[in-house]
Amino acid sequence: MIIFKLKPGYNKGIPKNNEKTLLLIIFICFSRGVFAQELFSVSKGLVTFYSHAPIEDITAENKQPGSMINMTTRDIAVIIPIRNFKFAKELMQEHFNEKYMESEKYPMASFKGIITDDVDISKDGEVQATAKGIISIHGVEKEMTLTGTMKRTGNSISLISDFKIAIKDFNITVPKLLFENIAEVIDVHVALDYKPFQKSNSTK
Amino acid sequence: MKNITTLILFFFVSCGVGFAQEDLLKMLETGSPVKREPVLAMFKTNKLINIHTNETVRKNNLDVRISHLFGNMGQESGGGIHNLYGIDQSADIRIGFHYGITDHLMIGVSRAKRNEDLEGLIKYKILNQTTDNAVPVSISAFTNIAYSIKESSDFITNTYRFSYCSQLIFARKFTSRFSVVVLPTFIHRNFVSADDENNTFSLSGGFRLKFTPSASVIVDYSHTFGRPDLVLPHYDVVGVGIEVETGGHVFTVMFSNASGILENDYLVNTMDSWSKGGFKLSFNISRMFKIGGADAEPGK
Repeated sequence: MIIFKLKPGYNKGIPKNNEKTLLLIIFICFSRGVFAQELFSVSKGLVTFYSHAPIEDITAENKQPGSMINMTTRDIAVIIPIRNFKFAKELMQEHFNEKYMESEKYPMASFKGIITDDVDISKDGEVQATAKGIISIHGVEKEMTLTGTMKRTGNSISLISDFKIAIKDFNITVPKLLFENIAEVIDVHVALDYKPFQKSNSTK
Repeated sequence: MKNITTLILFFFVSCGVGFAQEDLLKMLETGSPVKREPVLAMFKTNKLINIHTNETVRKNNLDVRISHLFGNMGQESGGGIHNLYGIDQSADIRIGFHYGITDHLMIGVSRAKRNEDLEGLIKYKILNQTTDNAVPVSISAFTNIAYSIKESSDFITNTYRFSYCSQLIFARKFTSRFSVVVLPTFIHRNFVSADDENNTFSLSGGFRLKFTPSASVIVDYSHTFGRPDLVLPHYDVVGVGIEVETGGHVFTVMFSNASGILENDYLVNTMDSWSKGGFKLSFNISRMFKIGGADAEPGK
């Protein structure tokens, strides 16, 4: 749009044009600064999963997810450090890390996607949003569409999403000879609160 | 002129595009500093075959361990088909209770049949290897006191019934599948026969190689320095086994020429040789119970 405004200056000689070019560059630089305000990062987050099995229900919580949203491009990215999932039983937590998620090899689970543009996420209010992208767990990448609620109140955004993960899809095998009972489909609940991104305290 | 505009346009677009493609995932990954975490599960349980590992039992957990060592398998060493390769005999039985006072401090008591010992033990995790290799090895210290309640005229006073074993345990998990443990041992026995020595030093080593997430091959070896030939020569102790973890239980099936299960015994008394069929079938069951200390409520 800026460029169109500069168009009349075409025939007025190089020096002036250079001036305008400079102006333009300054403007672009400035506008980049404005764009940067469109980045939001997680200030508080919680990822919970539930495994419902006949013998035992297992729950684990992770309070250290990282996430960013670019309000302009509608890009969203989430990373979840596997080691930070806390279980009621430490032995279970150890088995989760060692046997199932192999967190030494695959320390992070992640999601990278784009919030589909059928809703306006720039205004205050609550919307049902959908994000399409690639989820990566246990080193396996899979295309997934996640749905959730996005609520914007001034400078903060909260996002809540529930989805299911079939552990088979991510190459996680549960040995048959096992006394821990693990569901084949795990319910995942994600709740993330975002604030405008600042380089200094980017991620927790 | 047009060229300049094109250039400007290109610049603008490339700026915009460059920004749009700024990889949020990369930003998140580089933004989160590499965390220093203790390496988990270097070994499945606190003993390998004959030797200790660096692992202790977690806080408020009780490891009930039942170990059984059958008789020699080979004919030459008293085994053979007539006693189903040693299955009819029990060279040693140990029943042990290992409890975690903290995540780093384990205490335990046990009974071992062969020498009629009652054992009290302490193991402390001094160092834990970290994921970023800032601490490259785990170090634990182990010590026990064994008191034999055998009826024997050798024990002129009660102090003769005591023996002590101390170990410094070094371990490293090289890959998620492969861990190694090395440990020097000092044993003092208050009572020994006339041509034996009260103090002995040993060096042991072992490894675990996981071939599925739950099952591993385990091997360990112990050499005791300067053992005199008593009635029979002393042999180095070699154990080979398979360990299967099933969520709360660890089962181990192994073959070993160790004379007994307690360090105070097999490191100084192993007179069976693999080459003469002096190896025994052995198994161990470890069952973990959570005692006391409410389940940590996640998120509270």
